[in-house]
Amino acid sequence: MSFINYSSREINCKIVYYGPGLGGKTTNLQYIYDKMSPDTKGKLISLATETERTLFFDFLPLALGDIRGFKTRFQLYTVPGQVFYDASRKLILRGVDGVVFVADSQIERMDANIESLENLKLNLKENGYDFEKIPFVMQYNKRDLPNAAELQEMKTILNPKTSPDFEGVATKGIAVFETLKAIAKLVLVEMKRSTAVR
Amino acid sequence: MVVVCPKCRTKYRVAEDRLPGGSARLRCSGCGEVFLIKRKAAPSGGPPLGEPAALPTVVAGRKVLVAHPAVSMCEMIGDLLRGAGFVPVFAKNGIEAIAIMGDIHPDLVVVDVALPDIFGFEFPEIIKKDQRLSGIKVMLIASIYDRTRYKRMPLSLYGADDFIEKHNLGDSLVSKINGLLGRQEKATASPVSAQPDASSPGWAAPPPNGGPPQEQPPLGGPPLGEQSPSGEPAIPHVAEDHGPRSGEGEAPGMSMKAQEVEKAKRLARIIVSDIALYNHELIEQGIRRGSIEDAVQIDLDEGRRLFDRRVPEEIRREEDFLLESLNELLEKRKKEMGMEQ
Repeated sequence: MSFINYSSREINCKIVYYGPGLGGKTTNLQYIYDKMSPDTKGKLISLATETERTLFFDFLPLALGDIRGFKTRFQLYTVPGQVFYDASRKLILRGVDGVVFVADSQIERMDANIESLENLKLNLKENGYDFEKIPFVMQYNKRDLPNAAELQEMKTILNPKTSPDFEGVATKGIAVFETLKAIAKLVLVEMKRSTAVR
Repeated sequence: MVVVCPKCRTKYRVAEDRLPGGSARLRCSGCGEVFLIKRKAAPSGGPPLGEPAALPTVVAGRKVLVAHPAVSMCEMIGDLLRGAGFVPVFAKNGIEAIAIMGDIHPDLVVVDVALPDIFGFEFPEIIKKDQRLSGIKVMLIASIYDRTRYKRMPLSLYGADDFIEKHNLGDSLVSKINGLLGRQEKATASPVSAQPDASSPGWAAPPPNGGPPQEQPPLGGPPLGEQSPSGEPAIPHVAEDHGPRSGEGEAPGMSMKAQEVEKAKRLARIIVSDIALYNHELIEQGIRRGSIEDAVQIDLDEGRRLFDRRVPEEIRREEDFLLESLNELLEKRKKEMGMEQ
């Protein structure tokens, strides 16, 4: 789970943006990165090969306070969305603390949403996590498109465990920070709970 | 017409022309309840005898499959259809709907876009590929985002003949169906059929468990599954086994193998769709050159590996689903590029 850097007294929380290809994961991350204050964020790194692309950056939210004297640094990752680049996705999920699923609301991408969510459950399991327990937030992206599926249908199909969810338009920044705040909150609550147990 | 026992809810088909004086008493063979049935009143404002029939009469008795997961929605649509003289049949998921279509060949299917198992927008493609389903019209019950925030026409109906939004069902469904079937009627110039109802209404509850066998056929028609007086096969209960039958191959969508094939097709479509999304320009360049394999070879290879891992060999032997899906994509893209043959 979280990596603790004792020398800088920081806890690193890894949040992975998961979802079908071209659903808006990268747009979410880039919007967040663009709006972040330069003195709190790290560099935006694109771990790109010829065909697949992963984005990464970290930031230190100043307003969140400390956990037992440690500051929390959030590391945000995206995964390659193409269904066939599964090995990379599995790798990126290692050490994850929370997952944001960016679903593509276009009705013709519903198959891809379902496939990606099932793939997430499987890859979490193979990395030793339980989908039912890991902090999880759903974002229904591209809500501005006319071929967007009805929200209730998406909720029924993709979010039966009723995790926090948001209607987003990532290109315009709608619900991008709400989604991030929601997952950050869940991750911190989980972290505090797990440190209290110890 | 279809009547329902008020006590046990068993449904019966009744030929209206066998109701002397327009009404009769019916004893339910399931629970013994005796109840009065009346011929449905002709819609007010209908044409006088001898005059050409208006569309609702033209299409009376035609079967419409309603495929929707919500029972309440099915009931609502069913009432609308019955009121207009159609014979509604119901399915709650895609697999059931495809099987029923194979069995009864409805004139039209009204299908929810987000139908479980097989999405509604996949129906036109399935119908196109299966000769047994040929001619069935598709009307999508469209999804709406928020009726106050946007109200634009969908960009694509995925090959469906029409669409309707849920909140318009009450005022537009029947007229839209009349439009679709009416136009078809004129185009084919087939004789107008005003057969008495020849089907069960679907959702038909089987007799209560342990109940007595039906001692007499329901008034006005044979037991379900037998020939109706019109010679048209009566429609079996929707939940009956739709397994393989002799001389006809497998019923669409119902056998385990058919389901596996459907899964394989779906995975192939997702893989190809991802390749297309991420390689838009490369694919267009490839189409112009006459071969796209080189342009997307790496993705295709990765896709093939995933497909082979996920789909059993027995299913893969059926056909090259990936190639099939890729060809479909290319045809579609060629049309968009104005390169149609």
